[in-house]
Amino acid sequence: MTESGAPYLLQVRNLKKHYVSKSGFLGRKNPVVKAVDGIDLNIRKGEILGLVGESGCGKSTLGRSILRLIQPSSGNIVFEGKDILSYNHEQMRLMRKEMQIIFQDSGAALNPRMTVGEILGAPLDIFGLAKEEEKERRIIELLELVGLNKAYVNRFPHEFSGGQKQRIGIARALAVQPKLIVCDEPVSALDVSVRAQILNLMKELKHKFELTYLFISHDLSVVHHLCDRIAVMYLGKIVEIADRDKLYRNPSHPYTRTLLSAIPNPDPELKRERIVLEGDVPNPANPPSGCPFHTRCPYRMDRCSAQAPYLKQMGEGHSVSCHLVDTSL
Amino acid sequence: MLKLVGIPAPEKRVDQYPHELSGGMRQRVMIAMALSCNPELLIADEPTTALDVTVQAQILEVMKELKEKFSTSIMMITHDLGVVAEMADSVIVMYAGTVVEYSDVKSLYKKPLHPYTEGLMNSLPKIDDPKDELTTIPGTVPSLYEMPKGCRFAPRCPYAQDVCRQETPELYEVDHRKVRCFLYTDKMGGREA
Ligand SMILES: Nc1ncnc2c1ncn2[C@@H]1O[C@H](COP(=O)(O)OP(=O)(O)O)[C@@H](O)[C@H]1O
Ligand code: SF4
Ligand SMILES: [Mg+2]
Repeated sequence: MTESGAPYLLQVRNLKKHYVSKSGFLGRKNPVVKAVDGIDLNIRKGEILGLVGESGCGKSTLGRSILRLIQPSSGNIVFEGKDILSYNHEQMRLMRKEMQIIFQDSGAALNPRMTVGEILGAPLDIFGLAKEEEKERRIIELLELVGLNKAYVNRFPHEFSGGQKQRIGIARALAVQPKLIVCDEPVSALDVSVRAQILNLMKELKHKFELTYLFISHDLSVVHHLCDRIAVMYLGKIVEIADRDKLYRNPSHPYTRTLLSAIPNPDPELKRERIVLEGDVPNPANPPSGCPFHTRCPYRMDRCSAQAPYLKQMGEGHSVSCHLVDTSL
Repeated sequence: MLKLVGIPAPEKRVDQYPHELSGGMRQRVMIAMALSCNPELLIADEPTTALDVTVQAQILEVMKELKEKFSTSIMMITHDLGVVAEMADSVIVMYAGTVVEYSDVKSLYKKPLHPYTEGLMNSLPKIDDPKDELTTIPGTVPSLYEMPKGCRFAPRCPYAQDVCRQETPELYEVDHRKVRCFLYTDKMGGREA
């Protein structure tokens, strides 16, 4: 549930990550990809914030920038009141105990030459959290927490299925008892029934340890199931952010409406009105002027290509970045 | 042909290489190629799995339009129950290498017959009908080298009885549909659709 009174765990202010490619093309200036282009968001303690958008819109870049696994170009990242963007290497290393990440391809993120026991033991060593018997005990406890048989402790990652690898990834993140976990498409590569198992596990662990998640996904039904609040991204910007039910009942940005209408509905008798967009997502190295969505927006007006809208509150817990919302208010 | 599948400026695209096209455009080109020889059957193997939802919606629309226009039959292979509901007239559900259910699309979603189909449908998060906890199918799909005896789904099936672990069910006809499960036979009480 939304803990609307809870303090902010994380505040992101005007965060930018611009990638500059090394080789200029045909003597032109080096193209800059504005992967994350001025993002503001807050996450309260104990909340699950969903981050949705299509591939290439900058979700992973945002998630990794927050943990400073990628160095952001500018902005502020405030964790429990402290601006961690100004932290030096050693301070940041210690912060990793508070903030962890799990990936979509957990298989690739696990060292193939380490046993599960070693994988889970490594963060305990690094942060000096447990030694010898205490460490062994903690490793077994972590395996049991994520529903893996403790007899697997000496097995290697390749001996596990996709769902089990994801469980190992979750156990590794939990090892340091973090406050925030960035979950980057953790269930996107899994089959429906395994996906349901992992989603249930993530929900259970969140309650058990009062965790806070930034949950990145492109799947709107998964996000609806898990998240308290949801931010929708398009070309490096947040176009709408709202409490879950507000977003699904009253989607207000044309892009959010398109996304929701595009979900194939698992009910053949229910025919939703579908908005089919023209064209593809524009090249982020050469984004449109004005509103980034104007090249595909069914509602675009003259001012949309000239002037960029910005994120405005349109009601309690609901902000939208679209000129339509300005005019109708 | 490129125009038909919704490729903008086809005169220009004709000379482009595949890597210069986006995922959605490449899939449109594939469909254009497949349809250019006027086939009676188009087999589409996970045609939208790698695509984003808005692009998937575009491709599904194109496939529907072309199916009407050329009256091509389509065999669509997918793991996405949403795509099936949207596109299919009839559906075959497979589990561990066998067909477990065959049905028209409406009956299937109204009432899945096979316990595996039922489990799949229950494990989907539904926006219109949210649940706190998702129902899951326990265990995992058996490997092809260690197929269980009897019904291949028995080790994961909430209804399994001794007969399921000993004998192999056939596809039984139930109300114009087919299902590979003893629940619908005298062996287990003869459930109806
Ligand atoms: N290391 C990089 N160098 C240059 N461009 C990058 C790099 N990583 C990502 N990008 C670009 O930044 C944009 C956002 O990528 P990403 O954050 O991975 O999006 P998402 O996770 O939403 O799919 C894309 O256009 C991508 O091509
Ligand atoms: S600002 Fe204009 S182009 Fe952008 S989403 Fe709103 S109506 Fe569409
Ligand atoms: Mg990503």
